[in-house]
Amino acid sequence: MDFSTMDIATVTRSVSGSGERYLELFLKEYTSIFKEKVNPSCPNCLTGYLTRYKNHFNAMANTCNYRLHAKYENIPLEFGSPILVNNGNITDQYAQKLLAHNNGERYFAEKPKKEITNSKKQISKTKSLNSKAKSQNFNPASAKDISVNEATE
Amino acid sequence: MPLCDFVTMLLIIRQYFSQNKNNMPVDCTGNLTSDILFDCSNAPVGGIEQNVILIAKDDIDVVNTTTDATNRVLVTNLQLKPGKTGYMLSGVKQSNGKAWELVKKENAPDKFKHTFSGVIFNPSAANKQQADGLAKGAKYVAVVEQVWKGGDSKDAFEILGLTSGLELTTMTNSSKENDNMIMFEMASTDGFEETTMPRTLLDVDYAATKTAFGNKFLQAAV
Repeated sequence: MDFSTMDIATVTRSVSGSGERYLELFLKEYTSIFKEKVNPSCPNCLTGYLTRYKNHFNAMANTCNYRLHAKYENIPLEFGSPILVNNGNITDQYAQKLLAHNNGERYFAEKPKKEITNSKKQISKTKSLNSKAKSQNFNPASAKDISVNEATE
Repeated sequence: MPLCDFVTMLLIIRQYFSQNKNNMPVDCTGNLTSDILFDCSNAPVGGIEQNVILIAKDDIDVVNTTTDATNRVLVTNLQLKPGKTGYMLSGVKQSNGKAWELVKKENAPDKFKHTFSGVIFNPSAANKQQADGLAKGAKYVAVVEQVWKGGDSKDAFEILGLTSGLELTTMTNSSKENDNMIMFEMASTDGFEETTMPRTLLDVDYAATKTAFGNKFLQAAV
């Protein structure tokens, strides 16, 4: 039974063909995943459980290489934006916008390795060019220009 | 003197002073360093928002919890240990509250007593189990969101008991009073008060701080 596509009304009111309540089945599955006690008589809590369950499965299905820290899940994409970014809906475009925030890197628990290795390569290339420039008595400003030009080639 | 030599000399002098500045002892005199002004566009407002986050003091990652370098009452990151979370105490209107007061010391720097007062609305078995846990002597930290938030909402959140922790000081219930709710108070222990007034929490901006607060400062397990 796929609870990740159901709304809270369906989960709380429906009964399966064998007479079992969806709610009971859902809470059994929820507790087996998250290993925590649940309170079936609290409507707000049930909505929270379903949201967490959906986020969990959406996050697993999401192939984006960026992952937010748990405490920054559902961060607004920009000031006043109605889009709340979490590990279920994050994309590379959203991640780039979040990275543009002031000290935006702190939001991320994981970032693509490719980007890091690329930047490392770029740094080492720049360093080697700088040392080359120094050995040839170039001034640092022109050395920087050279490295930028070569990196973009 | 050639111009390049003069510039080099200036750079050396600047480097010398910046190094000495870093090695200078911290100023503990507590002298005023700027004006205390009234921002009339952010006039004072009482109260805190309904929900409060309580965190076991042991669960705070003190290494990665950071304070602003120039303002010791400003926390820039409140981080918990891996796999730990804060817990929400839900309130209604102004059922929860915070207070602090100066504790005068005779021959030592003065301290501050932080107090948090809360209400548990439902005396259910589940809630009583949590209340019972509070009474076992552990120390807690309370994060509250003030109704008054300051310019750009940068002063919205406050942390009580970050240094020494808050202990349960009173917990009462009476079927004849307060609709049978459980009333409790947590405060700094006498003689072990806080070194500052409640610290302001600002994780760069209001949106990020509010998101962390809404997620109860949850830190994923490694």
